[in-house]
Amino acid sequence: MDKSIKIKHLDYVYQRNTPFEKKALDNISVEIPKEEITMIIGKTGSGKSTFIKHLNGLLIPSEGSLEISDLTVNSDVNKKVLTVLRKKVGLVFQFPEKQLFEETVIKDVMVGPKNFGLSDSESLSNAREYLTKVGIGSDLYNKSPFEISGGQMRRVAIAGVLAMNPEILVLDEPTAGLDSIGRKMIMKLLRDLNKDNKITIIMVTHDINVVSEYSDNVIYFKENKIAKYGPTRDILYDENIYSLNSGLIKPDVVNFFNKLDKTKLKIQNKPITTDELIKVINENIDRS
Amino acid sequence: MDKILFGKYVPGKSFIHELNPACKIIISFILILTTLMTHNFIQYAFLLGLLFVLIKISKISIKFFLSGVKPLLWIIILTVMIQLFFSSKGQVIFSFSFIKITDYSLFNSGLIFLRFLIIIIASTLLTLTTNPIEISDGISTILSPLKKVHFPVETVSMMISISLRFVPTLSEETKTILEAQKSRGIDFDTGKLSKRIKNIISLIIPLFVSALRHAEGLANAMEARGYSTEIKRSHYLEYKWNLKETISLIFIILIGIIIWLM
Amino acid sequence: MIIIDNNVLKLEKIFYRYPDNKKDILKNLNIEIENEKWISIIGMNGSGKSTIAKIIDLLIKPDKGNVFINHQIVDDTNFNQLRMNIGIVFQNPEDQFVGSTIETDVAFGLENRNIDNKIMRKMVENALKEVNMFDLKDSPAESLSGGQKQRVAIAGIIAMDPKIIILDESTSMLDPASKKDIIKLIKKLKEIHHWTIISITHDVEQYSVSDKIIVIDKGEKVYENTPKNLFNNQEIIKKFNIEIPFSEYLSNKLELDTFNYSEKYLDEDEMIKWINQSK
Repeated sequence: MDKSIKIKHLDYVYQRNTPFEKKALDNISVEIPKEEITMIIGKTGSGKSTFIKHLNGLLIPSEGSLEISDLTVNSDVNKKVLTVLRKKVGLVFQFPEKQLFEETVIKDVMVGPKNFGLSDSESLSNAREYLTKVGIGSDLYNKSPFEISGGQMRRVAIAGVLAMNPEILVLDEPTAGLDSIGRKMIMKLLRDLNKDNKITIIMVTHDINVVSEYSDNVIYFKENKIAKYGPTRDILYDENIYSLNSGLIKPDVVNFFNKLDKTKLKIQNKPITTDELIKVINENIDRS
Repeated sequence: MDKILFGKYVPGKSFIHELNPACKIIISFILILTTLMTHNFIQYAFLLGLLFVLIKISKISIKFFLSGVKPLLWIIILTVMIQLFFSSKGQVIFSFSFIKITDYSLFNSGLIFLRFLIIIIASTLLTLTTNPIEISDGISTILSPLKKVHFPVETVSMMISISLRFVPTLSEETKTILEAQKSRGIDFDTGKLSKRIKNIISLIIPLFVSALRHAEGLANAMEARGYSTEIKRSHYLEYKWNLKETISLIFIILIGIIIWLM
Repeated sequence: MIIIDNNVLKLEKIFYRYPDNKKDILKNLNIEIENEKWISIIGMNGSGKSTIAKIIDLLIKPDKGNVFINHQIVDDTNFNQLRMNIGIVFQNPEDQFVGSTIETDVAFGLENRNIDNKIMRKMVENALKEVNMFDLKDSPAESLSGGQKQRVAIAGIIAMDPKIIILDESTSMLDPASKKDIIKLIKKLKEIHHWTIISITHDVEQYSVSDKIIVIDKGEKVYENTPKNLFNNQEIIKKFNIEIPFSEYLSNKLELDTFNYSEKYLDEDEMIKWINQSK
């Protein structure tokens, strides 16, 4: 089986044949490796959100195609393919807590699996499994989703998407509006899902420190095109991406490392995570 | 949904854009009133012609305008069909099982179609050339005589302006929730009616919760900035009533009367 | 001799309990805020910090205890008068945008004060220029980013000219770049307008620039000190799960004392200098 998501010459025209017609994606070609964590960065309105909606068939390309695990999506894709695609690719929207509506937490998590044809008992066991995974205890199962805290609501909503057993999880700013504890909890969860369950993670984020700490690859969108794509280390040490109007700031680690005096510094790789930076410093400092 | 122009505002600097909003609302009202009081095709042709001229003056392209009105045609056509199929008056000219079309119903539904179309075009033209705050200020100007009988004109106008202000926010949110539920396999387009009605709940509850949150946040913010229904407020936007408003109004009234008498 | 302290805002022995709740969310809380200082109130979810925000915002009244603004106890008679001393930037940029365009939103508070149109126009213009949004004055709400909406909210406050500014989770819904941008703007405006600022926040960027940090836990004040002292207090940081700035985090992780280094705390520049020298 092919281990990547292939996007070929994808165009998307927003509100075609209306006065508001606008090209929202322009000739996007990229291969996203499976079972890795890929993060999408770029300014608001650069095309990131439009792009990820293509990954689960909410939007259909105007031109070009996507190939995701044996499925091909192009402008004349049929509806059955889209249903299969939506089961394979789970999409978590920004502020996903807004989509909760059932009477209880557990019922809300079961909505997705039931709609994709799982039996009640399978749906229930999936719901339990993923609620545990996101750190929601059984004492909350029968509470109304509107009675729990904001951070818990977000994790319930994510469990609701995971319970459909997607191969690929796409998220739009999953850490937006959370405090540091909430942020770390979500990112650790995504890393565990990637490592333990081999789920491919693709997420949009504005938090450059999350990118440096947790991602394998970075896609950088600029003006409805992909401006840069590659392994995180290469992208984040590329000075060009921090140009004046990119809206990007340097990650703390990169910023710190850049300020260090590089003469006599022995390193294998430039550090991108905090642990790597600590290692570099520890290995290069005279302890006496 | 995105294609509907009704309720949207397109900034511009035309004669119509710069007309006093109260005047524009009265003009739209006169046009609608004339439409409701007339009953033949020639009158409607004149009204459509008049609207065509007004759109030209507003400098909004006709193509743009029509493509925005088009999605609403379905609603009109549906209403017209009901009128067409289920009226028994007049001579039957076509029949198929329970459906009967009579000469009377054919004529009548043609008129209803045009009547609807004119009303939609007239009100779309108003909202396209007048921003929400102007509309609510215009309404409050028109209603201001009611202050004498202690009608809360200012409060009502504030309510209208805030509702209009939150239309884009809530419609954006509706879209997102719809997409989120679609991603969870909830189908809004096909399936049994009972199932579909149940699915709508997955849309309504989140929207309701979100609207309540907005309302609470907004109430706090307004209170913190000193708003109260009891205070006397000044107005940032002031509108002048000049000669051009008076002339425009007289002009439209005259045309309305002429068309009505035709 | 009458000694008047320098506190422009004071919470004295505040108790508060939500209806249908068995426990007090705030218990005997005392907070004093000195003129022209920047104070941050932080605490975990459920600690009671958002209730403190509502009390300072004058949106709810405490069950017991007093709120003082400029040495006056807030009560029903002077409530509206004293509220004019306060400007609040709320969390959700969307919900505090009352007008339909930028300029009409900035004017909203002035309209409520029944200010003459000509004077109002000048005030709106000046306020928008201070936050660098004047060129966009006709733009509708829906065309703005979250950060831009918060700028407009700040302009609305500048126009009303209060001396006490409350940042009620004002940056928590913004992306990191807009967050930095808004904090920088507020820092600048604080100097110009001699603001006293109270931040209720969980953003480290925000509380690390304040003069003092108050940590709230289970409805009580558990710690009060400068950022530097807090970031150096391992026990408190661990106990209350407090996020600290990156360089402080690094210096803690590196365990500088194992390097025969006496100083435990270094800011970023000091640290880089030290590392560069000790190779």
